[in-house]
Amino acid sequence: MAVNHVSFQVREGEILGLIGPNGSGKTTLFNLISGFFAPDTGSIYLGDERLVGLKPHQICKRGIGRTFQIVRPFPHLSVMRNVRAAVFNREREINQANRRSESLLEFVGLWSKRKELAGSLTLAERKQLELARCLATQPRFLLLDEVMAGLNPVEQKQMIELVIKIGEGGITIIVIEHTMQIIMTLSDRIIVLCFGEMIAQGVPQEVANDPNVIKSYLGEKYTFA
Amino acid sequence: MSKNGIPKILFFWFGLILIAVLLPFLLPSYFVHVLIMILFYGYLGTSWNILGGYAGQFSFGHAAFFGIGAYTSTLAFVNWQTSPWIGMVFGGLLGGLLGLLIGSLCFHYGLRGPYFALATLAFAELLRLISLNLDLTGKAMGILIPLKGNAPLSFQHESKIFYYFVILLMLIGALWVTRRIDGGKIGDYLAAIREDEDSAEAIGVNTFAYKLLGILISGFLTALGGTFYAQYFLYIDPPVTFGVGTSIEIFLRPIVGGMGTVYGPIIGALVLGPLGEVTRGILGGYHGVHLMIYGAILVGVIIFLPKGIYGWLDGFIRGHTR
Repeated sequence: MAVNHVSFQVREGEILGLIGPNGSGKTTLFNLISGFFAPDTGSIYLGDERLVGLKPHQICKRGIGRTFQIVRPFPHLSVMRNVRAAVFNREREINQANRRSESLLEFVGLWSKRKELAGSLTLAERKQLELARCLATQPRFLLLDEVMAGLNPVEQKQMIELVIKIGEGGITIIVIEHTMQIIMTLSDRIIVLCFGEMIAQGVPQEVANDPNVIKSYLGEKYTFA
Repeated sequence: MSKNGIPKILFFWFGLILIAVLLPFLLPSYFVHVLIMILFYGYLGTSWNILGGYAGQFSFGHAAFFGIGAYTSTLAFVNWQTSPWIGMVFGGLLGGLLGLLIGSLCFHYGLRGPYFALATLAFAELLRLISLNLDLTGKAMGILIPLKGNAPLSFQHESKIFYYFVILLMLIGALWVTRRIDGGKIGDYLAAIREDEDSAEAIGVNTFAYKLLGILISGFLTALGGTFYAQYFLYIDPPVTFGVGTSIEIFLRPIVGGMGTVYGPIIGALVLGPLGEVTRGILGGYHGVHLMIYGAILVGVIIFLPKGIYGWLDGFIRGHTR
């Protein structure tokens, strides 16, 4: 069992941080929410609607978008078509879809690469593409699985700004991230998982000072700069 | 693109159509036959390409659809004198239905790649064995279609030019369908499924439904080709309709020409058709040698042009215009 007795609510418009040691079940939780895994027991609700039993594409249609920890662009398609395929989730008309794809690529900073094959992008660009593709489905709820991992400080900073912008646009976000500084600045609230159980939740300061969290994850006390 | 790019394209298409219309009247009958075979395999390849090339679901058993089309129109014609044109439509519908059956089974149980290929092969073999043992389908003797002379309404004509224009129109139709798919939502969705099914699901693609749509269209079109074959040769039997050889012939041209591209299959047919004829003409005296050469060239294309001839040409042209 990878995740057990985890119960929490996400408020509309907030950015929720999800942290925990490797193998604590963060990605599993995302897979459960986005319909890739079915829970044995328990439920997941979006508003009043129960999501358990829906297929991933149905959950996407209901407004939950996700990125993959190991980015999964469509390597042999152009960057533009990667995004356009996702735009078609809500858009039917082709010219409109092209325009939306271009503006999304502009938003994440990939417009100049739109004609290149996604397989030829650098890791940072792939993460931007993954984000653009996810946004293209027009979610109101976004699951971001380590979108900053493997990026250099400059790229991380750009990505953080993007995520904040997306949050300001009214989209509710859950972020999985390992870098404490990032998660502390981004999140309105934080949830800590350890061995599939939730060991703490609260605003960043509370969580950082929680003795359980310090023992099992942080290792030392996190001080706010 | 240059300012006069559009008129150039128009000239190109106009010229192509003019050549296509005039060619059969200028050539001797044997060459018209070669042209018909090029268009015919180009058509079948185009039909296969929608499922195998665009959606990336490699079917090794498209003969199943081909044979269903051939037997449906032929049996209706022989037993009830139904015009093969009508039989063709029903054959197509049955081909589409068979596609839905094979697809819903295979895709429901998550068969991908080689497993899907083997499952489709098994369906074709199943139909071959059934047709080999049923009295209705004439067993191993096959079915000889009664000659009607110049009877276009019965899908028969003594002139090859008639068949040439029929298959030309069928090919144009299949290419039109492919173009519609290629530039829009369905094309993007099928390509997404081909590239990464989980990612496709995550961006809202109902992968099961779209794979079914792919096999439905592909099965329908391939079955229409079966009727054309039956009416052109006026004889069908189990190995030539449902056999593995036919399945291979169907996917060979898109592989050589370029899978998942609109014109790849027809380019493959344009290359392989004459190649087969020439090697047979030159080396026909040495039994089987022309097939060895043909095979060697195929292997060469697959090794050196992995994206097919179209992919190579496309890269070449882009390299010189941008």
